[in-house]
Amino acid sequence: MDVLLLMIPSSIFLGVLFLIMFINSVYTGQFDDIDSQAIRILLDDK
Amino acid sequence: MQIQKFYYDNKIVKSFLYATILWGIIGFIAGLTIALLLFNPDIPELILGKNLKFSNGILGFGRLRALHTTTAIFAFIGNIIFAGSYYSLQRLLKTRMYSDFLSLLHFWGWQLFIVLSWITFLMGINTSKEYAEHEWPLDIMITLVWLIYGINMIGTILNRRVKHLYVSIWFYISTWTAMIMLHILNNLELPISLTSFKSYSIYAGVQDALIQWWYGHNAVAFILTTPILGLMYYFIPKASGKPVFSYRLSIIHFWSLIFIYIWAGPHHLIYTSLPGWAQALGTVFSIMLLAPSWGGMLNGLLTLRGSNVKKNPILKFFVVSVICYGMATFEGPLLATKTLNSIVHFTDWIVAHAHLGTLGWNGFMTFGIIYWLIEKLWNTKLFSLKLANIHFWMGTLGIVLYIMPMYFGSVKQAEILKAFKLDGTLLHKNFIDSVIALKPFYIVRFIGGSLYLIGAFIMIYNIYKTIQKGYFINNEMTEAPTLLKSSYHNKYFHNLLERKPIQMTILSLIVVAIGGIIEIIPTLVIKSNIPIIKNVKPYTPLELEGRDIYIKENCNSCHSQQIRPFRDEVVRYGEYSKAGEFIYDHPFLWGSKRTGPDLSREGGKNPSSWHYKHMLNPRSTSPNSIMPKYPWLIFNELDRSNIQNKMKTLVKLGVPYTKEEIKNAYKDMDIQSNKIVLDIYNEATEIKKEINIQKQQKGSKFIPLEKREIIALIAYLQRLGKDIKIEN
Repeated sequence: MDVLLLMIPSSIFLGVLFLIMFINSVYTGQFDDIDSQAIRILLDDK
Repeated sequence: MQIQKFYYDNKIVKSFLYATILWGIIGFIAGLTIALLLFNPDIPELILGKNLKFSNGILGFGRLRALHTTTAIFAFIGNIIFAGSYYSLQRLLKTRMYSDFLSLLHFWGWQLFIVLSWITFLMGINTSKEYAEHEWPLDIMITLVWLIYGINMIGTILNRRVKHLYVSIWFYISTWTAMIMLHILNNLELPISLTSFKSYSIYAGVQDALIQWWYGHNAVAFILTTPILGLMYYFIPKASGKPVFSYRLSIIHFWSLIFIYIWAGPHHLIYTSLPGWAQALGTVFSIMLLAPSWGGMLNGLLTLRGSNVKKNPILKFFVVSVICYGMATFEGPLLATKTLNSIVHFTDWIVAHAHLGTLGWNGFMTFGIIYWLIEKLWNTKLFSLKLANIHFWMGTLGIVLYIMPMYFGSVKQAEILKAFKLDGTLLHKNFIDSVIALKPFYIVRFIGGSLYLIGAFIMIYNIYKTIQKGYFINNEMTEAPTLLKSSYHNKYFHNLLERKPIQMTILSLIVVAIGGIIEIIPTLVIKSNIPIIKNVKPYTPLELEGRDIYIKENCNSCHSQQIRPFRDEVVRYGEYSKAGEFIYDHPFLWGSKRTGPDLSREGGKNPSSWHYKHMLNPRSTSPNSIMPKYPWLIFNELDRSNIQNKMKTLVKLGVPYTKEEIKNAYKDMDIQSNKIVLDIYNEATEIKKEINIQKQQKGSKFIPLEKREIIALIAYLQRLGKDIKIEN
């Protein structure tokens, strides 16, 4: 059970880390316009 | 805005495409060969006749099996990943590949690595770690070629004319970073000398097992899944003319998939000596993996909504491919639960599961991409839609006929092995009973595989005809506006964008590393994970040489050395395996499949003469056995020249051989081998007579039995499990 000492803090740390990363990505506009990218790849070339 | 003219490099895509097809066929044939050996173990003898004993094991099952997996994974799928990513990267980024020279170096380097794998594996040079059998010089080569691919890819991204990185590229980047991490960490090994191919894994026993399956599972994730998803997100929209169903979902799919995948490795080690908490993590994350996998699967499938799939064989391949992905990723989490794992682990179900992924998901995606690219690159239409349809149906039927019998056979085998009589003894004491029951299933599987191969040949004919009527442009001209610096708000923002691929690489490395770090570091450093057993001693020099023969022949591809704590296994094989028993095992040899019985407590179960006869002809001691013959072990002289180097290397890895023991290694080997030979002669006088006849016939060329490989192997087999064997 010693391993819990490592597991609990690491899971809390990861949860917080990913939340910060997600909030950051929203504020830097990464989710503002994404659907146009899906269409863009179809427009080029023959 | 300035429009620039530039050229796409189509030639490198063509090279990788041809390599994909060639290695695909070779990989399928290698697979069919070992499938055939499973119900016709005497095929090598049919081919080589009496020369089998001089063959040095070139047709040995273990070696061919490693060749099949390496060719299918790294050569067939590897080359389509490169073909598809080189084609799509250029077009998604509106630029030529960063360096033509690096592209060529990458192409030839990779093919050379596959060819060298064939040569070394056939010679018996391998590490025995699944999908990482390549010995250390090849491991270094793989790393270098992979670095070249990475530089070429990142360089291309930095040269791009399009700001946004399409989601496929994210998958390519994470493939690259994850594989280099996994490959290097799993292949940390110490060569016995710089002039020898032989090396020992720096990890031992439980730790080696964890690192190996962390690697093994994620080779599935980052060679057979993420890059193929990258290809799926590019080629399905291109082939169907419809944008991906949800781009937003593809982003969530990406991050959640790469983060969760890396944790799931321990599900290969459920009920083994791996610490329970690590097994539990493996199970939990495997079940969680269902969500991102199915998110991606539905995203791919829904992209095809409204397309006329019936009329287009390319889309048919994609549909079945994505459905197979969905089935395999549903099956995976189920197999990772303790309940199902206890029944089907070590059986053919796992083989079926792997082939649902490779033949279905990867293979069909590959075929779809090949047909589509052939039309595009040769500026023509397919020679025959009908032949492509026939290929599709033969392949689909082949997959069904491959997988279904393996499922049934697996459950049947578990049922036979786990059955008890009312008096509490095993209903089938002999493992062979379950093997006999599997034979018909093996035959149907072989038919399924053959159909798949014939389908691939039809594809080659179709492609050949298509190429003849088309024309190929090596450097395809195109034009696109430049990415002007003025289009950015300020310099800082510009620099940030410039660095995006590098940020992306680092970020994806962090995300994929977390799972490994949390599972591996505690297993390596917390002592209570592997309780010490005082009785466990290092192998004697002769046993060590025998163990290296076991590794050379890849015996662990059919025999496990890990008894799970189940009633039937403990009654059949003996006391269940303990973590502390494997501390001197560099590498671990637990195996992942029981085509034959477990060997962890083989020591003392059968007399030495039985092993001698068994290796010469398994069917003489075990009627109906499907084990191949190993006569060369009985005729070859044991190469003892490296034993002191081997022991010194192991000392560096923490095996406590004393200086005295290393000095006396040869004397020690003589004493132990003399004793085994004496036992054999006492038990079976006919062997003594046979050896005496050889002595008279060969004269000065005669090799005494004491000096032969078989004696070392017997020494090792007789040692197995003896340290803590509980005598009845």
